[in-house]
Amino acid sequence: MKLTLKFIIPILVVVALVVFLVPESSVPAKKMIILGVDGLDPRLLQKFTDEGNLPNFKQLIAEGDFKPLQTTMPPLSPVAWSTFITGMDPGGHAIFDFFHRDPKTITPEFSMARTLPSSWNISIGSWVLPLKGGTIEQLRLGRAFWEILEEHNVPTTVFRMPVNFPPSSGGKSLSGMGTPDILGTPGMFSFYTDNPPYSADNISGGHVYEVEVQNDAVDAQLIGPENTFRRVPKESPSGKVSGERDGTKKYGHPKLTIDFQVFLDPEEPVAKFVVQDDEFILKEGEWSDWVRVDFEALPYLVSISAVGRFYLQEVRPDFRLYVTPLQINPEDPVMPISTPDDWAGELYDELGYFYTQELPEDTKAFSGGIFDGLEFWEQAQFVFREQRKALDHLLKNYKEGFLFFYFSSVDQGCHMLWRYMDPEHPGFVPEEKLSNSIEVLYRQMDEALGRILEFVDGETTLIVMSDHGFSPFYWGVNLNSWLVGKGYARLKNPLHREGYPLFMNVDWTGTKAYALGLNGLYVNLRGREKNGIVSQGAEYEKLLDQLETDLLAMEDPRNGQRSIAYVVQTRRDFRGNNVDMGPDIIVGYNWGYRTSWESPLGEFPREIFVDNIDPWSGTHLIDYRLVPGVLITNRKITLANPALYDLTVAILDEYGVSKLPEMIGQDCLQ
Amino acid sequence: MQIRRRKSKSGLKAWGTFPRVGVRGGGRSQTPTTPSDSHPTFERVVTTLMKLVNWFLTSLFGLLFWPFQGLDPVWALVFVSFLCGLLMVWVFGKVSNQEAIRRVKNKIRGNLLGVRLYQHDVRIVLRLQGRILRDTLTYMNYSIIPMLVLIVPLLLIIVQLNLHFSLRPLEPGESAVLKARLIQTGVLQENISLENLSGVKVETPGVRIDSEGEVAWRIRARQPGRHLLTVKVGEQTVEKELYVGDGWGAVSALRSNSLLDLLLYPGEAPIDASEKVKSITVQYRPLPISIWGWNVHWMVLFFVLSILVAFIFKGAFGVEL
Repeated sequence: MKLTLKFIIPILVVVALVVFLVPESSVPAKKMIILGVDGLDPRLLQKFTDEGNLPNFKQLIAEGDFKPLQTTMPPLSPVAWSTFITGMDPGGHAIFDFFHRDPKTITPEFSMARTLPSSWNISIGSWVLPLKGGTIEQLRLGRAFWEILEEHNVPTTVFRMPVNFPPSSGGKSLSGMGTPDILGTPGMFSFYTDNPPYSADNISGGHVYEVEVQNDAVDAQLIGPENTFRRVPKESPSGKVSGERDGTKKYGHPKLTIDFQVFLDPEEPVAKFVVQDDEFILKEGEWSDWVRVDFEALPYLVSISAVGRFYLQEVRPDFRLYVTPLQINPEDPVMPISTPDDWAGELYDELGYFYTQELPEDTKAFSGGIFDGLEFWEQAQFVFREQRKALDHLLKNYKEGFLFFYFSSVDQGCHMLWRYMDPEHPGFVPEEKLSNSIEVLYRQMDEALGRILEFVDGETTLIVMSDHGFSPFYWGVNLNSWLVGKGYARLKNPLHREGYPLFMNVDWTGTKAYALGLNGLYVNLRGREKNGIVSQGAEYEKLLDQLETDLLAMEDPRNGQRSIAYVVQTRRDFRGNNVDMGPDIIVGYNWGYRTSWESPLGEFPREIFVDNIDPWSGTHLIDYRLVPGVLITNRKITLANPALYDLTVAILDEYGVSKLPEMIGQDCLQ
Repeated sequence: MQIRRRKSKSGLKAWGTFPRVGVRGGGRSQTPTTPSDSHPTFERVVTTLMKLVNWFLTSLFGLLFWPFQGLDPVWALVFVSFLCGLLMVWVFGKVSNQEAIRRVKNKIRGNLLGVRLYQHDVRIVLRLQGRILRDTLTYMNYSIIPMLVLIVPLLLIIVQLNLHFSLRPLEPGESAVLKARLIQTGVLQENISLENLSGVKVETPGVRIDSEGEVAWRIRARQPGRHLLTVKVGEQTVEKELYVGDGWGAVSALRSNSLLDLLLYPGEAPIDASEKVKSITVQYRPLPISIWGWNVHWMVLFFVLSILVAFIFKGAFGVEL
């Protein structure tokens, strides 16, 4: 016994020493922090810095370097961030726009992710029991650089990287742009009122529900996703169920709902809300905290959890209540929004509930007239404060390796607030409180940078970068209408221009090209498109060249300006194996121009050029050379014109990892 | 969107002339503590008795949990589950017919063995199964009395545990809804206010819901401590305790005039029946109880642990369960 103890005790001591004293990795991974600010523009940054408003940017630039960062064509966030993530151009990663099109139906499809329902179900009466789960597929192709870093034992933390839903494997990551709300949309707000606006049916990105105030109370419902565990017969518009006699009944899924009540004080502008087990009181003009709701899909077994915030806009004379898009609850996510799966829950434990949808600033509510400028500003600032709080949390826990943090506020703010600072804008609004709001957003980024600088030591590489810059959106171009005017497209009834979306009025037998998406133009190609008429080969090539020439010659008769500055033929100009998945031509508009609101979804209004008076008054959907992003670092930039794909290689190189063969950039940092 | 309508009530006629529901600071007024003369004698006796029991048990459990105040509440719950397990097995041993239970359990064991031995003979097996069923019922019969005896202390213990482990105090800076319900609807006719606001900020005017006889305020906790808020209805005042802190403890969500509520919510004395206020509620948040990262309802943990302890220590107490 004594002999045994003699051996066991030293062994135990050694094991304990190994477990407790020796760190997992004896050499901590090199530190690299990237602050990704969507839409940070080099001109505005330089202007505000020169005016002395951005001391931390000034310091970083003085100690390191600052250059415009070449963005992608088109300079769209999903495209540009995908290039940054993969080191490839759109021909490689296959993200060409927010929307792509199905050539068989010529209908737009979301480009970043796709949900596939369960294909193996058992139906018992009105109940449907899935035997296999549905899947959510990320459509960005190519490997994310942090996956490669993780393979080389570099710990990575990636917060809200765009085009990363569901998140790529490896490290800690929370998905960003591309993450849906609980309905599966990019964000669908709800608005309850007893006096709906005239435009209620035309508001995109939200639903307006008419409610009645009776006895100082309102009964309403939160509308959730479809309940895939239930089925109901589909009804025709007349209310009849088809196929009942011959057994060919078609079924759909009913929406999940949650009743809620609002009790209004008879005199004061204040109300009490009862939502499931939660009760809260709001004064007019107040926002609630996050409210958790659980949609019961299978009683006692399956529920879908979501969170939302309520904004009591007005009590009387009109009752007006806005509810944010219902977010995937990070505490109990119904879809994969983080890696590892429980990281979203850990963030919830530290931060509480937070916006999980892709771009939380509710631009749709502003464009739809539900918010005014100040209300949008307030909501967007709430989003910023949440993200800012998350930055503090991540910095506090950052020890080694790679950290990426994303802010959306500058991009969304520039889109919606440009017209407040630009008197030349057709939709200029003189509003003193918002006239310098974009500058405030830049100052907030400067403050966040100052916080990061507190964590940067001599061994840490710090990069501030953006995906693109910004330009004003003065005039819209109805590209599809231009195609009709030039004879590239033909309408069934040229007199019916309004109210026919998704190419409903197009005579495909006489249409050679059509525009879909924000910058894309497609040839109606035989064998690819549903009703293609252009032959592959010489006719196709000739048409592309002709289109390019005509597009570059397009002139706005009102001021004589060229409205298109640059054209990309994807098969000629992009590299990679997936060029066939994109449009045939990508249009780069000139400064001040952008595609109109109607053209991207297949409409053909009469006018080709229209003034833009929508609150969405800033853009970057133009010639990529006019809206570069920003690259600021505490190192020296070695390339004269660094591009997003060069930065990808630089990150890998920082950790001694070779770039992949399909990556098209080169290291741009000293 | 399905819209459900509510019928209009005559209260709307008085639009704009309602007495205001205000928020005032100022001195505290004392809640009457003696039941009114109109109260039936029996109910008064029961109320007084229950107040005494509640006072004793709340003090006892407060003392019991005092050493655990700085720790995670799960430790206090484990401790009390352990004590209750021991208490249950001891009481069961004292009030049950142990000899009869032992005898009937032996019979069941014997018959179970018989089922295995004679499994080739269906008739015998069926007969034995019948006996097992009969003996099981007999066993349950022997258990009824100890169970009935146990139910009373268990109920009181559970009510106390609920007071301590179901809700957490408001954290400083956190908001909650405080609701006062009147005995009769017609809150619009009353002058109702919330007073004594040290440590708490009232952020909204009272929302008067006449159909529910309710007035609700949003309050925000400012300073830790047990604060007494006063709901004033006309000249009458009723107090409600508000617990602000970042730990755990006896959190009384409801103060009411109902006997049943007095049993289920023992944290505060009942509201006198002569008051116009029927109940006052504070919407506290649930107290999270977690074991190794898993959130568990306190009652599940309590029952699992106490039953486990009872089975482990039944031999030590010489008790047959």
